[in-house]
Amino acid sequence: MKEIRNDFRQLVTMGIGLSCFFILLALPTKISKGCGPYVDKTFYGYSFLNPNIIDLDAPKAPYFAGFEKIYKRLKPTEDIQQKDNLTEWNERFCQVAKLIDLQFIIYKASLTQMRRLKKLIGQKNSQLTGQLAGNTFARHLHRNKCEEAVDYLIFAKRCEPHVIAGSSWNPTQRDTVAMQFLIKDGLKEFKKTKSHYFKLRYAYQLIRLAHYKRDYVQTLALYDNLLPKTDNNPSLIEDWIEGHKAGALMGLGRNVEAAYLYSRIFQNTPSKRATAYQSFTIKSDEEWAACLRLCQTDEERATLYALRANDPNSLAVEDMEAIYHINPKNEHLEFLLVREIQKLEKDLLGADFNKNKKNNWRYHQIPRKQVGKSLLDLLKLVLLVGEENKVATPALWQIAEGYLELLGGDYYAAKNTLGHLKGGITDEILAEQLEALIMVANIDGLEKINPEMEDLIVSYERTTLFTKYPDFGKFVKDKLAYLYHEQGFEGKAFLEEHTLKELRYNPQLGLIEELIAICQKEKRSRLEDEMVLKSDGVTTIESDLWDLKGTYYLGQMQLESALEAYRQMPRKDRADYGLFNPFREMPIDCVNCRIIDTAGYNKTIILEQILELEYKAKADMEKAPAYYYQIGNALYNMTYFGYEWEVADYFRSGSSWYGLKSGEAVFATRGAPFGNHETVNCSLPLYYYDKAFRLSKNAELGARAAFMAAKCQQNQFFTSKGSDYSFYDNQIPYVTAEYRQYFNILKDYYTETAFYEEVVEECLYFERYAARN
Amino acid sequence: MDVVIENQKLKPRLSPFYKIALFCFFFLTYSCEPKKIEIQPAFYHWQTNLSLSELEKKYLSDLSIQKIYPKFFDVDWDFNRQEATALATMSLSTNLPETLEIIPTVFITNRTLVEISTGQITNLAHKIAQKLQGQMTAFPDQAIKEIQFDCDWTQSTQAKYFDLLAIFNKTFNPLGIELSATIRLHQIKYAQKTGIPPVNRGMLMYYNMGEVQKRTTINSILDNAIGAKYLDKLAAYPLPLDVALPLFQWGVLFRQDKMIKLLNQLTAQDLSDDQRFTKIDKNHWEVIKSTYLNGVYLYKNDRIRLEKVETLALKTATALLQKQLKKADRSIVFYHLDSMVIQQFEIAELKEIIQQFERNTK
Repeated sequence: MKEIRNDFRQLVTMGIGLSCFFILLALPTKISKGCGPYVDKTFYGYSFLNPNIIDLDAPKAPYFAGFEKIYKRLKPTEDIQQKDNLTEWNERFCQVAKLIDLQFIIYKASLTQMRRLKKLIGQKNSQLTGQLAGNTFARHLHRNKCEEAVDYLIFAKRCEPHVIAGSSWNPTQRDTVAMQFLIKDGLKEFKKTKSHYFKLRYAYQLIRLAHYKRDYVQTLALYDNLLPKTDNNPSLIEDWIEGHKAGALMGLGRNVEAAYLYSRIFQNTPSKRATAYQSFTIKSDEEWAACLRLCQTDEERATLYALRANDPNSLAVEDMEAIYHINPKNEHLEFLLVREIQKLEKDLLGADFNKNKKNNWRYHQIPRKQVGKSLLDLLKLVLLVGEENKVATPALWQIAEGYLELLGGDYYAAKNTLGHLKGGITDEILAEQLEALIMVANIDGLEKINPEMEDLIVSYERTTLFTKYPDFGKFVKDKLAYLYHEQGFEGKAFLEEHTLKELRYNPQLGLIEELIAICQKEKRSRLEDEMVLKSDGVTTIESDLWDLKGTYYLGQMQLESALEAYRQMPRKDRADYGLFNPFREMPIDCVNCRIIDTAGYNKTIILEQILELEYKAKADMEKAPAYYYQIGNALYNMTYFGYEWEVADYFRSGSSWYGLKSGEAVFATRGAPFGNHETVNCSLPLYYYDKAFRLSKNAELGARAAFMAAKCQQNQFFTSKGSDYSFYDNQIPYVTAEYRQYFNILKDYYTETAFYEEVVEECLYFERYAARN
Repeated sequence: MDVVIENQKLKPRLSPFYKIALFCFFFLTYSCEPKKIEIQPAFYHWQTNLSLSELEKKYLSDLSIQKIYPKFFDVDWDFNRQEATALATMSLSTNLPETLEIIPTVFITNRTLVEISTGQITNLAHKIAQKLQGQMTAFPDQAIKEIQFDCDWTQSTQAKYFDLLAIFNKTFNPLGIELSATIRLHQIKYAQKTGIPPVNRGMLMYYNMGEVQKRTTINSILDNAIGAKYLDKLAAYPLPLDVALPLFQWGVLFRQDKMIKLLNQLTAQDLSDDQRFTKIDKNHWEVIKSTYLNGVYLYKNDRIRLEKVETLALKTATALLQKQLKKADRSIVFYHLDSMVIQQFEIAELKEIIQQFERNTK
């Protein structure tokens, strides 16, 4: 017996020591600071336009996605330029060589290799060696003695070092003297060359050299001098030359001519389109008018408007109207139409129920304030197009009309317009787009939700369109959540927006009861089945909900209600929600000290034992103090401060310590829609410790009960609003008189007990408190 | 000579106590004498071509400017290549007086630090250092004593930025070159969160303090009411601080209530055509006809807020800063040296600002 007592004394001593150590040292360093509010700043919205309704591979595709996105999708410009160039070489040489061999000779072969090839061409019965021997293009040049081609390639390779950009960290220093010498040599070669195709290529090399050495006057002079002397079939080289001319014009301040040239390059040369777009600049109304005057065709004029409209912040309808009046079949119109609808989609589609609408406005100013006007302006144009029927793809504009009506909130008109088109569209992609938009209109147009509607939604979810258009998932969930909220079905709304797991942070009684009722329904809708059935398709989440309900009551220290909830749970499931033993006397406030060497009980048994202890205490006055002390321990250990906090909570955050003095029990936590509830209220354990202490005739038990009661009071002090105790700086808590009653009792009445001695010896703050008073 | 004789005479009469007392007296007298604090006026130069106009030279000379902070290049993130890139490299096409000190400045976008991995920092530091050293050879007559880094770093990019600066320290300090870094107001107020950069000096940027995107903002460049809120911890900031003050102006373009872009160095004169613009109030204009303005296409109903720095606001800023700054030698740097910018201020007005700093620190 004595040994047991000694063991107990040892445990208590160790416990108090650790407790004090924890409070004084470990607590401030162990607990991390709060993670802070998490804000997702990315735009959140929905889009149902299938990019394939316009030809994304069409030359002007950047309109649709914007250049930034298209760069990611397409290969870099240099690659396109190289590919185009190789294709042209291949065509000129009647496709006698493999593309890879052409690429080697044009882009990789060294100057020495080319000079050797030239030498071998001049020798009788010569044989190609090394890499050239196996190269189909080199063999062709050698066999046919294509000296002009090889001479040109030699010259081009001499020019190459002078026109490479180098890296941004170490840009190439231009050797303008050497470049000028090359221009002189090139002019001689130009004169000597008979082939107009190679003449044109020489002209390109010379004009490029002059441009890169920033001699813009010489660039234009070479252009004017050399180009009239070439008489070749159309070549992409001409467009490349135009680019250098435009650059030179810009360098000389002839902005209008430059802009006009850039617009033509944009229109005609895919490999130079992006740079032409970036270089196209108009500074004033006068320049714009002058640039329009330079245009020789309607196509060119339309391209100018399209370039202006392509700015991401443009109000494009104004320019679309201009393009339409110039040429209704102009391809830019459709790209711009789709882009404008995409913008309006971001503004308007699901704006009522978009769950991120506050941040969309705050971080993106979406929806735009005057979006209604933008919608009407575009709709006006679409209606005009519909009346006149002059565009290239009337069906696209008709679908656009219905979709704009939908975005404007006129579901009746939208369904009508889109419905009329059904069956009349032959284009497969457009027909599918129409189907998708009809579905969007049906979902967006829902005003109420009932079991039939729920079944309809499930039938939509099972269509291929639903998975093909990835935004349907979130669109439906957000719409349903909105409608459920409107109609007071908070449980269903919660499950549309969150997972059941997220309810664990702070269980909400109303939601839980609503969901339990759905689980217990005899006939559920298909959507309700989706909500409450587990993956086996048979079991519902009902037991999870009973556990949530029981845990909610435990968190409120409402033991009878908690037990009632747990008793509703089938016995076979009760052990699935954890086994615990909160009854151990554990003066250590160590939340991670799980007791693993004792038997665990499910929550139902724990609650039944507590109630039984209370019954026994009432029946046996002599043992009552010990029973009450046990109840106090069980309850204390279930709180935020105890080692078995998981009985009454699912998630405990160390950072909540820093918010305790707010007097609140719920703390903002990422991923917790209702915040995170902590069981910080120690009133009930205090009540039982108080009873134990008052009824106890054993001084040692009385001392222990008083000490635990003092701890409860200290926690109450920590959690009282305005408590000035700071966890940041290891300060010894100065508990105010209001929360010091049990410390006083311990000091005034139990100084003679062994327990008291241990407290004073082991617990620094109590020692200081005792000395202070 | 007399004094020496007198002192010699005094010597034997002085007891050790008097000696100590006398020493203390002189020591205290010497140390209590107010130390003269030096204010060095300077300019940022933010153009890509360092070529000084006659007007710019006049301002430098009349204001006795002995140093400028030319921006050598920007460092930004190239999203296509997924790497940091150097942009807007400065070229030099003017002869600078030998007496003019050059403080090379590099602007690093915060998004570069967001995107770059920690493992790439050393490589980036070497690239920047190499480029800087390459560009510094264009100034053989100037002794480079300081290099400045400009970056609006945040808590999340602090570690990477400070690592970068630490590498620069190792590279440049042995060459006798000190490092400085620009410090935004929020980095002063929340220094505990954003950290103190490992550099020798800080340059407090007393501008761009309002929310430029907000339609209701009055002047995002310089608003002393906002600035004052950030200054209470200025004296406690552990780095010696220079101060940068704004001289520039701009138009803030709003379309459908959304901020679209900044129209640099826009003046009221640019908006005086009443066929295209109508003035709404003191600093707001509305576009009444779609039109081009300085290369930007404006749509009917667009709004422009004109923001400029008034001399009075600069004086108020100076007074506010003087109250909070530690008394120390420092540079007062105007942003920035460009004829279009500086011509909005009389030389005398800028002199007054400089003198105001000098007056209050002596």
